[in-house]
Amino acid sequence: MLNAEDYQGQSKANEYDKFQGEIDYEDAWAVIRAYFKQHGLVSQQISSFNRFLEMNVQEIVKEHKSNRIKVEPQFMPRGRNDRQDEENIFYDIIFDQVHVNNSPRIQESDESYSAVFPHEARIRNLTYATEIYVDVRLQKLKQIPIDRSGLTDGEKREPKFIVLEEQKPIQAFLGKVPVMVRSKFCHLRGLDDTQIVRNAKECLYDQGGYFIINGGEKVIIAQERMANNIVLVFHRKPPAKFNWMAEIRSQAENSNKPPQQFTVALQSKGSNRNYAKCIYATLPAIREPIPVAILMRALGCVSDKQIINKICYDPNDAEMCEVLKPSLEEAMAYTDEEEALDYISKRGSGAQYRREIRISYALKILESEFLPHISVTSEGLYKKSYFVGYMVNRLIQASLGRTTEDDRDYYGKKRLDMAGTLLSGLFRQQFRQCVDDMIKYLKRDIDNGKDCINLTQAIKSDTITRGLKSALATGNWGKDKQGDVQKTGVAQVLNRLTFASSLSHLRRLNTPLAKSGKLTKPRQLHNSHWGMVCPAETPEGQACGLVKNLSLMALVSVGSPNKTLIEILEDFGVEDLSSLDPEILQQKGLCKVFVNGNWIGCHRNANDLVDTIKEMRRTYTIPKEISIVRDIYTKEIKFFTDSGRVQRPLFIVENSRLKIKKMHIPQLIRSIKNFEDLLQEGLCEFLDVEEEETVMIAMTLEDLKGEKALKYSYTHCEIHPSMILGVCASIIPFPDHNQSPRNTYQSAMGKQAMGVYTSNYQMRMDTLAHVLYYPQKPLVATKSMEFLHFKELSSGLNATIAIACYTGYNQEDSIMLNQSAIDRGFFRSVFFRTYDDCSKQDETFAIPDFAKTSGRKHGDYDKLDIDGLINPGVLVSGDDIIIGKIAKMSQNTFNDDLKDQTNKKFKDCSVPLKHSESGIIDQVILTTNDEAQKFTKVKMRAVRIPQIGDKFASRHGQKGTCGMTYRQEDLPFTREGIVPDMIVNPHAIPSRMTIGHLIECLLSKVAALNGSEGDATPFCGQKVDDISALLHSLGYQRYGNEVMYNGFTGKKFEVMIFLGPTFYQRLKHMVGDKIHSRGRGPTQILTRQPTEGRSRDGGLRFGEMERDCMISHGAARFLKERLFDVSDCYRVHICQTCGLICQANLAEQRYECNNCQNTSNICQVKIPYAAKLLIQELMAMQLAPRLRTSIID
Amino acid sequence: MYGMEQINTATGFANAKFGSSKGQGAKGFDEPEIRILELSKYVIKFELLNTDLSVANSLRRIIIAEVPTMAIDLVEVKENTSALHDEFIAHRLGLIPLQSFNVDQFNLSDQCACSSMCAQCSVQFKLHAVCSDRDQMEVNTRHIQPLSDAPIIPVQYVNDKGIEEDPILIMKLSKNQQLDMNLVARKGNGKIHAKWSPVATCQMRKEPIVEIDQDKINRDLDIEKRKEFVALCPREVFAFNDYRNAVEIENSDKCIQCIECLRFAQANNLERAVKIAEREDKFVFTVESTGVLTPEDIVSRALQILMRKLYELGTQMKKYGVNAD
Repeated sequence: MLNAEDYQGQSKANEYDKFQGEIDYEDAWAVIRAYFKQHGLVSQQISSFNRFLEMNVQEIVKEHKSNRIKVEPQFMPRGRNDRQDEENIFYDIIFDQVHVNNSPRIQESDESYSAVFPHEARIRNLTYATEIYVDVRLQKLKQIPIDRSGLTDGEKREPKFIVLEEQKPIQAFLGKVPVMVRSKFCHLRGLDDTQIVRNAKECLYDQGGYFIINGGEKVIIAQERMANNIVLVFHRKPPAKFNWMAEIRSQAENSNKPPQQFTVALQSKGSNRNYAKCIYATLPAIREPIPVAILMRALGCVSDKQIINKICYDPNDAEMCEVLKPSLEEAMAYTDEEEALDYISKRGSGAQYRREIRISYALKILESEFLPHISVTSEGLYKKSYFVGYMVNRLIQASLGRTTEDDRDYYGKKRLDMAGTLLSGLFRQQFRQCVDDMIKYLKRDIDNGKDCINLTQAIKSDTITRGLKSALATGNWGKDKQGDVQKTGVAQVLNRLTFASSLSHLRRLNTPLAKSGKLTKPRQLHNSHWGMVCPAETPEGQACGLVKNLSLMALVSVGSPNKTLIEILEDFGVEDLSSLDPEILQQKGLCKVFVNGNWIGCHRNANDLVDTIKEMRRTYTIPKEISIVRDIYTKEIKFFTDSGRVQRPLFIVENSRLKIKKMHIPQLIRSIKNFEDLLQEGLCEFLDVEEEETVMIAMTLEDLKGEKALKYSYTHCEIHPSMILGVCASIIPFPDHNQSPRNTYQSAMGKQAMGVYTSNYQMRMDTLAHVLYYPQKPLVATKSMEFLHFKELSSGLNATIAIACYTGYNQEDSIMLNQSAIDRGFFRSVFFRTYDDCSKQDETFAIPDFAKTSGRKHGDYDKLDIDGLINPGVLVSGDDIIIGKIAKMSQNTFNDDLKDQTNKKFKDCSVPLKHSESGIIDQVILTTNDEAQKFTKVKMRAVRIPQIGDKFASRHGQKGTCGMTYRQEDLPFTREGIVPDMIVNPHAIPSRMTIGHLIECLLSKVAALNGSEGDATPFCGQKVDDISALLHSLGYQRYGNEVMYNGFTGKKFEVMIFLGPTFYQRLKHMVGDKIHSRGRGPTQILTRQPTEGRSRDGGLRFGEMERDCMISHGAARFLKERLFDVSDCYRVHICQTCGLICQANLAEQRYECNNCQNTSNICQVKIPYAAKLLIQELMAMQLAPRLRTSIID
Repeated sequence: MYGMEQINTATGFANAKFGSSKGQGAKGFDEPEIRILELSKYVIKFELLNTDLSVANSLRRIIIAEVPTMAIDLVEVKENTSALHDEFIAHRLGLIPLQSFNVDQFNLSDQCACSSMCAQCSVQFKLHAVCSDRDQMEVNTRHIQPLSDAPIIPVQYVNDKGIEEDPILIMKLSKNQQLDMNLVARKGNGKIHAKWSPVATCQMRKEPIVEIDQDKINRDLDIEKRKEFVALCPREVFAFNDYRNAVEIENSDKCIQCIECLRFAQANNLERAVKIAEREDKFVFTVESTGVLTPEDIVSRALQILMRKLYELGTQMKKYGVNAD
């Protein structure tokens, strides 16, 4: 301790340090903590969904704001047909404000509404959804005949309307939209922790981000795609007609049209007859490639000079002009705009019309179909010519080798469609359907002269309600015009095996690419994934590298309108393209300015512009998620405001010093400030991949202090490099010491571990759940685990592991367990399974009375209580009936025969327990579902004690099954009497190189002896030597080895054994669930062959390869037995005259072939039932397969 | 026979060099002897002398797994509205140590004359706990009430000063939860289930032998190296004498046979200066009882069982005409 004087002296010296001093890593973690406190782990899902309900729904409705119906009076037989006055009458249906109810509720059977909380929705199989309403009003209009005076032939005048009648706006019910749990529209928003646990019965650590559809939790998986409106230049290998091409997928902001592909391409040498390389453009709706000069002329750049100005910028650039020359020469014949337009039109579908129409047709294409992201009106043509020029410029630059080809896999050019974006797309489709239906409905009413027009009735809320619900329930996203599903697997059932697996599922990304494609590039880890996508967590096999996971601190932009940004840019001196002199483009200091891929203008002082806009972003004058990319080499400044860009936070560095100082940290720790404040004060900022490319990021805080800082002028610094990992990889201790595929394996395996998957598991009724008995927090943990709540909801135990060969029962990745430890509760777990059922029409929960009920199952009905449901606490096994249910048989079904015969009125529809399981009934609930049917859920529990065959794994991709259990006295012991819980074979280590496993064990040993917690965060510079020195000081051999003695004999082992605690996990695969054998058993009805699969008590297939063995072995008799006698042996009688199957009455010994009048010449043969079936099917097709028999001597 | 020729591969020289075994076979041992080093309420530490490793290890194995005790084996749940499920509580109840000083009065349930359960093979308890007036309540071993007067009750730990410690916590109840169970304790041993094992730890170790050639070490190594040598041992077996500037053996009993010192010696060409081994006829046991029996009782019961086994073996061997020697 310091005394007061010392302290004062020191404090003066530290004064500077305390406020202006540089932060250390402890402080960096405080910043990370603040980040997660604010954002959590699923904010990408939630913010995207909030955006959808708050903004996108309104925008989509606005797109269909006004809908006009022309009155076309129908002839009404015997009705009034005097409606000529309605000739020019129109009706307008106008959609205005959208209202979203922010408290999800359902309508109960008694018509009353009640608020539904997520937990109730899960239990009662409801859909957690809220209503949206829209203000609609109806206008009756009359068109005034167009005044043709003073108009020339071609000229048009907009028709004028007068409003005859206007209805008061009404609020129409549009439909129900599923609500994301914990979004702004969820009941849980704003509740404090105790309310969440006590009142809402939610898990304290559950962060939401999913939907509840019919009681099932659904996650929307983010979908990765190429970004639109970005010019990409590619090279093609020689045999291609064009070997350089510049492409763009153009889509206007807020448009639902599919993106338009536009390409300009440079011919490969020799393909043209004059051996010159021309540049062509492919336009939408035009069959042939158009010479680029003709396109430029059509866009209004008539003279060659103009074209050169727009493409080459600098007319003195001889090399470039040389490449362009053949293209200009080719277009020499088409000298003006009209000729060019005509040329284009002739190659489209306008060829057969006269010239004026052709020209206007081409104009229309250029205006609205061509490069729609720039403009869809006639004013945009001039700008489009600039853009084409720019594309050609890029093309030529690349072909001249001045720039390189673009990288398709570069992550800056990828966008992620999150829940909100995907729902918007779906909502747009459904809303359009709804509006179309409404118009059809109203038009019929109006045309038929109905007086009162009922808008509420015309708007069918079911379209949207059902559309969204079914998409989320099945994962089938969007339908095209043929009604085919566009994407599958977009919504998935949230994985609830372990808490970490749920979290990881909520941060998953999918690339909708053909999984069979043999292209490896898109699957590989790309440099630009750094910090955005986890380098370890991806599945093995078909989806490897296509399914990814977000890194811990990665967020996804939600998008903001570009209009405000463009206005700001103009204020700061960006010269608009439409008023720009093309000559200017050759000026040196001029920079092109792009917003979302659209070239909007130029600026003379790039430095100033970028600095001011960055400053504005850092002070929140413009949204924080706008990215500012300055490409010095190509003299471009690009701004992006669109949605779906992955971003991550970084410290801002100025003059080699972090802008964040020591003084900011206490405020964060004391929650006076949050992470948002850091952004607002310009201490941190979010960068997307593309902007990241233009900055200089220091990897560590130390880099800013040393020589490196002088060498590189850093602009940013990583908050902590371990944040590049995703959820599952963050649980691995010392991943930086493992061979990389091991981390990948562990990332997949961590999801199968048992633990406590939510803290409210006793309230929930999941179809399948495993809960570990005594979960422990790991002795050795990473810092990131704090944010994943791994220590609170852990999934394993710190087992004492010996790495040794003992009796040989741990070979080939098996392990030996301490039976005494198992007796004491080591890795015990409970297994829950929930069965549910509802009584539909004509169905009742009851104990079936088999005097009146047919179809009795072979289970035990005696365990049912009088209400037809089983009681909690009852021991159940095998096929015991747990829900008794009978259904009234209807009068006219094909069951009629059955009913008449037996005089039974009911059919048994009871639910039996799975036949291979047994346990105790844990909980039974009886309630109603949203269709007001009685609805029940029955939860069964069974304790799973580890046994031989169960699977266990460490956190390093080291899995193994239990090969033997030994009691304590039989296991090796140390001189201190310590006996391992588990013995792992040493052969598991060298070839797999999981050094992290060993270091974890070593550090765990230190932690256990010290009573401390080991830190295994990667990239922290922890040294093995330090750990072993610590272990040595605690009185143990420095590398964790110990002298051990044989438990059977007491003899000392010749070698020392590596012994220490390691965090192990029990995986969900257990022999008890898989063990299967069958002697005799059920057969299939059709083929009479044994059934397949454990759940049907099926046979074990004697397959082709087994058959091959028997053949080569010469065991023909055995083979016949396996494949025939023991399978589907069947006896038929054959008429030897015709060779067909004939009648046989074995009881009376009468045999007869009806066809041949043959009663004597009949023989009995044994054939497979499948063969008999084939014969009969052939006979049904008028083919006569005849069996001929003869006696073999 | 065991002992003589065994070469310790780790140390590289024969044990015979050391005084531990006097060149005699097992027959040549003096009468086996037990010397109690420490005895407290829960722990006994003793030396087993003049006997073979096989005997010592048998004793260890019997202490862990074959000394019979009583433990709760059957739980009848009448009411359980707690957060934990029945099996979970039953498992916890099973692991509670019960004072088993009178185990001998009872029969193993499968060897008892009765058909299912009787006072000769079982002891009944009641566990009833209701949390009605508090937010949370602890259920501990004090809530287990015996239904008979058999002196089999849950262990109540007493600390060094003779003050009772908190009873063993079984579980917690929150408001309006209750527990009502009938418990049956039965006799068994650690082979059947670890809950019947009477010990927390049973440590058996051979006494270490550490010998150094002080002259050689102090001659061939400089002072720094000598200090290094001393620091190498994780258990402080060696000490550095500041007056003599020499390495000394401080406490050879602490040695964990990690041979760090030996390796160092080998690296410095002093192979013969350090010798690490274990005595083959002296075993130090530390037996820590769970409280079910007194530690000395556990050991004497174990010895009885061992003797009975050996006697049984002897009679059987005689029966088949094998020389029992």
